[in-house]
Amino acid sequence: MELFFNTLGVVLAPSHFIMLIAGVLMGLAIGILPGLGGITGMTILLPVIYGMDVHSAFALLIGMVAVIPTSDTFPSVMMGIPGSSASQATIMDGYPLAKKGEAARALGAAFTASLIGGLFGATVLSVIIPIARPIVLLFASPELFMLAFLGISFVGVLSGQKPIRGFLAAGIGLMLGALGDAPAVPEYRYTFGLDYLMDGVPLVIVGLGLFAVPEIIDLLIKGRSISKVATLGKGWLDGVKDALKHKFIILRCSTIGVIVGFLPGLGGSVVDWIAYGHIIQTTKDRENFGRGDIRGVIAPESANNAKEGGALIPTFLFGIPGSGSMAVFLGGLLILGIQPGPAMVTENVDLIYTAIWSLALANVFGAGLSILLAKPITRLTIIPFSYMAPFLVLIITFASYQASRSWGDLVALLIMGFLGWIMKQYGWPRPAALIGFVLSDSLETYLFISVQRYGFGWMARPGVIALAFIILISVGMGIFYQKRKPSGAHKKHEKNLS
Amino acid sequence: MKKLQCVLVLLIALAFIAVPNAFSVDFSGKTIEWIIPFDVGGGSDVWARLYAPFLHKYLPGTPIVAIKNMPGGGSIIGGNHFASRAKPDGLTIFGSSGSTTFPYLLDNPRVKYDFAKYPIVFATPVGGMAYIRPEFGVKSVADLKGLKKQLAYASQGATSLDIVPLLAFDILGLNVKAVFGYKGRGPGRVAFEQGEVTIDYQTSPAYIKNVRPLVKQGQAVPLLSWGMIDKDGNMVRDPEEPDLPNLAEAYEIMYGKKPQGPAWNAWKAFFIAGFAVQKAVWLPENTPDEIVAAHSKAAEKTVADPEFQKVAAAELGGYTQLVGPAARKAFNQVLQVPKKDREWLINWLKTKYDVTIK
Amino acid sequence: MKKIFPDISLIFSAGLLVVFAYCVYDSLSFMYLAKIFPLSIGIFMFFAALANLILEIRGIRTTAGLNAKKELNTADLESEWDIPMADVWSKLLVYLAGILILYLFIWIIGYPLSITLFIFLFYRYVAETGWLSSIIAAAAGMGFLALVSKLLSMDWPEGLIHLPWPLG
Repeated sequence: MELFFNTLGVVLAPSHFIMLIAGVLMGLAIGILPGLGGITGMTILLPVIYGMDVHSAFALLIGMVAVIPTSDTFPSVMMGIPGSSASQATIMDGYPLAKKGEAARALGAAFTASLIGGLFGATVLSVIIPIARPIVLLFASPELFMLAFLGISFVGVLSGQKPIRGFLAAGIGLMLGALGDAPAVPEYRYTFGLDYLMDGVPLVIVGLGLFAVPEIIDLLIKGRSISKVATLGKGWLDGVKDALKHKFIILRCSTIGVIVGFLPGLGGSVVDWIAYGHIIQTTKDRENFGRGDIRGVIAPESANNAKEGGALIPTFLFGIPGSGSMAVFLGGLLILGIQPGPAMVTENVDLIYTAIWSLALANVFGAGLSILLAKPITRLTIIPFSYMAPFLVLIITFASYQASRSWGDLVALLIMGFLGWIMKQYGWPRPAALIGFVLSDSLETYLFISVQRYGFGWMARPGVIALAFIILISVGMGIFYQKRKPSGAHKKHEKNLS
Repeated sequence: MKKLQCVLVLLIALAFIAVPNAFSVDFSGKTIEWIIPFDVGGGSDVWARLYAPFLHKYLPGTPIVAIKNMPGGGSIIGGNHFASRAKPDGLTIFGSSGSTTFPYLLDNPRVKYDFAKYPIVFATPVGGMAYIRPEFGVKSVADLKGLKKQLAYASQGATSLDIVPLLAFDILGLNVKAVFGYKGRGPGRVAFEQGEVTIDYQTSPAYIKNVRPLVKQGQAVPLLSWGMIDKDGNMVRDPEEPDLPNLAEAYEIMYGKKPQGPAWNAWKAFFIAGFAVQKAVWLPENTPDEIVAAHSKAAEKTVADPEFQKVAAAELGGYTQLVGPAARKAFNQVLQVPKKDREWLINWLKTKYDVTIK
Repeated sequence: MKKIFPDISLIFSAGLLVVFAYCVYDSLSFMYLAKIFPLSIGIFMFFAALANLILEIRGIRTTAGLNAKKELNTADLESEWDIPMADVWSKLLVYLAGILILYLFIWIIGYPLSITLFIFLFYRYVAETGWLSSIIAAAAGMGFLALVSKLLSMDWPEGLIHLPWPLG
């Protein structure tokens, strides 16, 4: 308890607080721009902390990390452009809302959910820390594989009526992810001898290519603004009310966020899809998901802020990043001379608590600021798109180029853009491709390690069986609720049976 | 008499010109670009940024020292860029690490850089310590001799820095199964704690911070360190863990004689490349001697600076940094490995791990 | 021209089949450990692509199939057109050509000037704004690049002709 108040004292001290806010502002300024958010943004901002004193730099660093999921929400909702490490699933319902003119509502709900989710996550985390180490140690490669598999199983949920297309889209993503260097051997796959492809296609380019480019082209062809309606509908206050109405969803999803977030190496990429998939599978009236159901925004957004808090655990306790942005955060810690690892629970546990609460505080500030920004920024959804298009082209080409600073980036962007456009027109679910791409490496690596190390006995492990069970239930529920949807007569039939 | 004086003056002047004169070099107002073929925040990036402010202070004209990160291809892309684009004007330097040197030694066709042609400015050593899980009843290297059980080691890949531990285990006659796919030594250590793998090594800074507590709690048993190279090029014990035998001593403890043969020669070369001279700074080919001397002098002053020493002790493991001729001498041990020993290693990789360098 | 709509979808489906076949074929030449994943996924996907192609061919023959395409639920962001697909494609190709010309300019004179020109021309001729607004917009673009390059040391592609900062 004393630790709690001590930490709070540190966190609220003006010097710490100011740097925290500075970090939030910096992160937000860069992160709002599509393609420059998330990992890219952090990598760009990181050199700033060199040469600063440890305490200020630490606060700055946390501020920047905290605001990544928040800033990523802007491009997700406004244009359906997924962030590089967070706010991916938000595009599913966030963007349709923007198209209906309700962008402010979506953002309001998203930020409220983020705020509450982040705070709740921090609370759960503080309680769990003493037992965190043993829990993380339970999740070895076989269990992590099952978790990645759980992530991929949600592809079905996202494919609506055409599961086979979802499956194939995921396959495209998986193979795209396999392109480049193989995880364990010096083999370069499908690179056609090109140096550029040696490291595979960068995530930023896949995200921007598959989502941003087709959207820009289509909006130009249609010659209208992002929002189909000329005036902005419900405002951010409505969004806040929506979020509060669904507070149980927020609590549920932020719990999922914290727990999945604290599993090393995997959390970041899957969490918002798991939250999104979970909310669909556990709801009866799901017709509106994918068309602007506000719950489809609340669920992933509560999860992704909580996840960043959770991801602090493996980062601090093991020195293993829990998510993409944590990897860069870890680099920042090393720069500051903070070596995370097992010694931390005993020696520097106060640092961990400081981090958790700084994160929560930065979250609050970031979310609050974002809500204020929501109104003016959403005005962009009603201006004629041709005013925005060339700037978007600038930001997107520029952001892509930061991936590997070579022409290959620009070419890859164009190719992925074309692929994404075709997929969009002919009904191939791109989120499935994105999930496949993001999870490809984890799936391959963990399966690989499991088989090498345990032979086929890995499947008999209790953790694996438990997760397999969860996957079966989740897929089962998905199919079950799906079948009830098509006709009212069917529903009546169910009523008669029960 | 006058003629003699003239000749003397001429001779003195010539001597002055001939001796590489660090003081005629001046970088004021310029920017030194330091290419680091790794990501921001990674080990090599941190290393460079520790050095940069001191180099800025001590290079003539106090130029800005700017780090340019060029990750990609496992550091090969940055190396190639340096090889093809850097001009010998002292304004571009290159920071290499073990993962840059290994593909070079293994004749990877993608490598276009050649360390034999570049003047080395300074090098930073690092050590490595191996440890085993306690359940095997092994208390030290001596007990390893009777161990028939198969051990598992978390590896990033057979052509990564892991060549050093894998070959070391082989030399010691241990039955070690390499499990490939781990993303680095960090995950390897976590896997060790989980029991997923049973033998592991860490570089010294990580060992000191993360493994020593485990040893204290009885969850890990230290076995040996790879060792370190002293200024004359001999293998000695690692100063960070002076109680641990180095590989040569460990072998001697187990088998009663000193290790020798192609495996040992290959190991020694790769150990030096991957640890004893792990990170190094280079100037481009044909850089004039005065410029090389200016950079070396700045490095010398850096290493002598007590503030730097504090920082180095905290973050780099406190090893003696090698500058100028000492660095060259150490790295030459790497460059002068006979071709047959390198070929032995390439063959070992092929037969044991079915890995060919493409 | 009207016939293009179903054909492209078919071409894509058929194309997928070829792509996955190639993936399987190429993976056979990889080292063992690198082979497992792409080979198994490739084989699965090949058969899935085959099934998809067959379903699509059969589906085209019925109007029900064409309607089903519109029922994609959570599958994707909508794409309903009130102009014929052929027109959509021709507009796409125009924009694509625009991007390619932009890339060509970047190649020759470097990024900043090219994108600035792009913004200017776009504002003037596509968005149809006046000279002043277009110039301001273009200047804003270049200003952003200059700021971000100075503060955060970000790079851009340089052209064959090297221009002074911040033009290239």
